[in-house]
Amino acid sequence: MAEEKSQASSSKMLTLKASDGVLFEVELNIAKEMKTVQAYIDDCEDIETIPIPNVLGKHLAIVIEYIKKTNEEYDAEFEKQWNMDDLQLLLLAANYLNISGLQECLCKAIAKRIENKSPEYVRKVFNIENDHSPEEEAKLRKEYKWAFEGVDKD
Amino acid sequence: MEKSMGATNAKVINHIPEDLAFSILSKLPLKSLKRFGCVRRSWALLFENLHFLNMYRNYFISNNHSYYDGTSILLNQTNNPLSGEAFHSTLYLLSGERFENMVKLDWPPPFHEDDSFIEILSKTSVNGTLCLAQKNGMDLKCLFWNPTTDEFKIIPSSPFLYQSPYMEPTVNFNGFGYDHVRDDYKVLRWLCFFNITDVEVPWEDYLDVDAMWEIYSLRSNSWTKLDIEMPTSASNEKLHVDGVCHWWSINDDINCYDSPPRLVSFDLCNEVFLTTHLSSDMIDPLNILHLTLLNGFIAFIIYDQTTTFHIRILGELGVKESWTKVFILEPLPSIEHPIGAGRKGEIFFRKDDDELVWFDLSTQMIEELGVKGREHCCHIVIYKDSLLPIGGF
Repeated sequence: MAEEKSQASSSKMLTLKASDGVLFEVELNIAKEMKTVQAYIDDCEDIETIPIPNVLGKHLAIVIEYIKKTNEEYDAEFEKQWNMDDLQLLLLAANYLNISGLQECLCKAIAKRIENKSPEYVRKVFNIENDHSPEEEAKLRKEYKWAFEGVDKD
Repeated sequence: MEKSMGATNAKVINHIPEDLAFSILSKLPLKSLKRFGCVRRSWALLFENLHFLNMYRNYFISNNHSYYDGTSILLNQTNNPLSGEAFHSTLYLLSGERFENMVKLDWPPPFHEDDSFIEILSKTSVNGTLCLAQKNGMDLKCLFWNPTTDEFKIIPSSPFLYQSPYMEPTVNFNGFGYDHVRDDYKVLRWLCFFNITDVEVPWEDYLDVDAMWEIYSLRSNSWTKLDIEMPTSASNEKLHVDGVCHWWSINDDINCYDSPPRLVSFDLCNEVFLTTHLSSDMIDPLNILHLTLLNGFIAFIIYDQTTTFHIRILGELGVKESWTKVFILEPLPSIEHPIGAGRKGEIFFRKDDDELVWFDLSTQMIEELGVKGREHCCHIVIYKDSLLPIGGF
């Protein structure tokens, strides 16, 4: 059951401008959930359009929707819709905008998806280069043999 | 069906900084974390990275494990009497954010005359029912009790206790819990027998009675001998989680010899057990071990006699290398030993002046409960109430 954030007494509207120029009109109390935006407002009180240079319009749209609706049931359904790439980009967006609730939700979602995967899969997903020497890695695999049992096939 | 945002998500911008990666990793189980040590060097040293460790600890403490849904905390306390005074076990229901409310609960009628040293088996409840046991010399009481409805059911005596009139049994309760396959409540005990001294045993009546395991089933209302060789518990710390009874032992499988300490996990459904040894750096003759359930995970609180406690969480049952050191409690002066854990990172202790206190893992604050207790005789129980009749059937 979606829960709309209660209407603040000041239904002042703000405009957020995404990196690709897409504009979003949002209520002040919704925009304030993004602590980055809040800091911007604190600095320049009269601002009406706030630039969000790090986030694409399509991701900002999802973030705003999340803030408006968020609760636990929504969280569980929310994360199912997006593929791994989008989850990561959304996490970067939530991190930049400083929305702790959304960050937690996305971190948990990504964690759940990689929980039973192999190290190779995780490297690919996060675009990480393996800086272990072959001997080091072999030693780790042997030492933690028990941690490799029952892992999903890549 | 996963929606995709299209081809504009170039891999180039898909770079999660290490800080955020740690945030994701902090929500993973220990098994995954050990495996992902292979991903890159910095991930192999996660538990030595204070930044990551703090994230992991915070999530561990704040994450609500479903085991604790709708539960309250009971304190089973025994007084430290002055000479001439009697021993009494008192049961308190603790509530309030800081356990400021303590309500005394009355024991059921079979304990009204003698309420000394009452044990709440496996510190657990099954559908609101506790299993209480008391050993007083030759007297052995064991019963099921629902403190919410006040219903109690006495467990009948075992036919194996007095197999020979010349041998006296010593009873060791190891566990109480729920068999979800048969929808049955079970109680597990180990018996060993000693010759009654000063009695001449007639040759024809001589009967050698071996130590044995027995299990009580509520459905059959009877005790059955278990054909198993398993180490019996060495302490009062016994747990029950998901139909498995856990305790720790310093005996070998036939309970004849001293062995390095190990966790024993007995599955009540298929009646088999698994042993998890402790890693070599946990075993030190000077270490004091306390087995507990911490936020739903099996853990040992280890006291190394320098007033520093540290906590090892078990990563995987059966794997001795998976005991991971997660918490270190800074020196807690005059704290003697733990008596149990609460629901959100609270650890209850007894001080050397008998005062019972609780320690908050997240704030590192200690507070007194306002009651004193005797050494090794006080325990915390996680209780989930229910109005169901005992056994639910």
